[in-house]
Amino acid sequence: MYELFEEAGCPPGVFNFMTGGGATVGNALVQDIRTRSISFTGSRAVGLSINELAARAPKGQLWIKRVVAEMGGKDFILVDKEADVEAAATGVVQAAYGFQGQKCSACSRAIVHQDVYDEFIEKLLPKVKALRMGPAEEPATQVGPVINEKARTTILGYIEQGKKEGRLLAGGEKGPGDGFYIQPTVIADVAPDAVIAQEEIFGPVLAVIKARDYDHGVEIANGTDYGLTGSVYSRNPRVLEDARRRCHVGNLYLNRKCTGALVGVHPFGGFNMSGTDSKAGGRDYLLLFLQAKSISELV
Amino acid sequence: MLTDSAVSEFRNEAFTDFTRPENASAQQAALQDVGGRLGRKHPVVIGGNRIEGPMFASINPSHQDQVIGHFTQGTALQAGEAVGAAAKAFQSWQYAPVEERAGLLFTVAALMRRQRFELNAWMILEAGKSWAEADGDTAEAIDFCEFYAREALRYAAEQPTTKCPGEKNQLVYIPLGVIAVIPPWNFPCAILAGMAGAAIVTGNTVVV
Repeated sequence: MYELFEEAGCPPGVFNFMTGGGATVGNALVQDIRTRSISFTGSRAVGLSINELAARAPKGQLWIKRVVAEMGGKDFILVDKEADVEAAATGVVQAAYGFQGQKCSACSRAIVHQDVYDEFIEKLLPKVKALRMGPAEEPATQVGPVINEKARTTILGYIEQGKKEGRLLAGGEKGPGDGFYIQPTVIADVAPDAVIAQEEIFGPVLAVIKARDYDHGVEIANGTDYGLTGSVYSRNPRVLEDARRRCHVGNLYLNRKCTGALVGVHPFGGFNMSGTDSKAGGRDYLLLFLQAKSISELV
Repeated sequence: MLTDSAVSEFRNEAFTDFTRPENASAQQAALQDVGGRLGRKHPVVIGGNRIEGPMFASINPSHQDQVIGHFTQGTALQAGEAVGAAAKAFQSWQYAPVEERAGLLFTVAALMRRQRFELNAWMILEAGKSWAEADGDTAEAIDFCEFYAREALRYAAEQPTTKCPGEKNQLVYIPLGVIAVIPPWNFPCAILAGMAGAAIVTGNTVVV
């Protein structure tokens, strides 16, 4: 990226490129009194720590630092009793396992109306089991490895937790090969307040949660610390109208999956612990990097 | 020079259709090419100067014995120097004409289009992205550059204020200064391009 900007004629010093540890390089950048603003995308823990560090104003600092933070998600797809269950199952598989679930927008909770719960699982499982896992360079691969050993260990820990909190229906283990593979995993009958239904896993793990009715589904959907993306599948226009108002997420989708936001089309960013709702790819985004100056001349 | 009216309406970059044999073979060729360039050392860059130091390895998550490249273990001292370099560059970049700043992002987008399969290949090997996911990442990076370049032109245009007899009134948007940009690993191309691009196109300088 640096090389692209350099080749495009970006003057020296406009784009500086640092690599290194967050505790050393990251903290130094955040705390420097010459830093005017911090633009962060990453985990909730790091985002909150940056916000705290940036809030201090040591002597000599001339401004309150502006923090723009895009953090995690515990994103849902809510399947109403009047949904096209087949389409919903397809949407869930794409949103849960695309890039191995390592997207802040990834679907990690399928919240399903009890009337279509069994049907949904019946349609979901063959699709999950049909996913082709393998090295990313193989063109046929749909599910590759997770990013590193540490991530794999964390995700496998959540899967062990999930086995206690629900019924393992698919995956649940490492995958074969010389990389960091984890099988696409489905855990059903998970309670809304279970650990795997509340914490961001950032891996190919889906919790399926049963809702008594649509209202209960909305309550579950809104019942986490996060508020990034969510989808509602229903053929009932009144349900969709209601979802527009009550589902408290920065990016709400109706009858389509909750990943794949397009620049300009779906400005992207979330509520609550998902971040500062800086809508990337939207008309408000550049304001985060600007300040307004009012000039008045007597004529 | 660019003007707002000379710029076409924003459109999302199309995804590559890998069922077409020419695209599939171009992606294979790029993977081959990039595969032959693994293990390079990547310095930090401060004020245009490349500086090496102790390195850490980035490995291929699909094959954990394969090293993609070595990156510099930057220090807190260097971070401070980078902020200093950015603060110095801000003195002039904040006044660079918007056409120049927007033009920079349009050029970056054009370079990305030209190197699309190569950028995809790096992400396939270093992040473990499937072909389609990697290609979506590059397409989104191009979109961010194209979109924010247009947005910068819009914010630089005349802004509405209430008329007041006897006064000439104006509201202008100016940049903030040095921005620390801390991007995630999961969208190596798109989110970095978006965050850094947005900061730079508005006249700020960045340390990534």
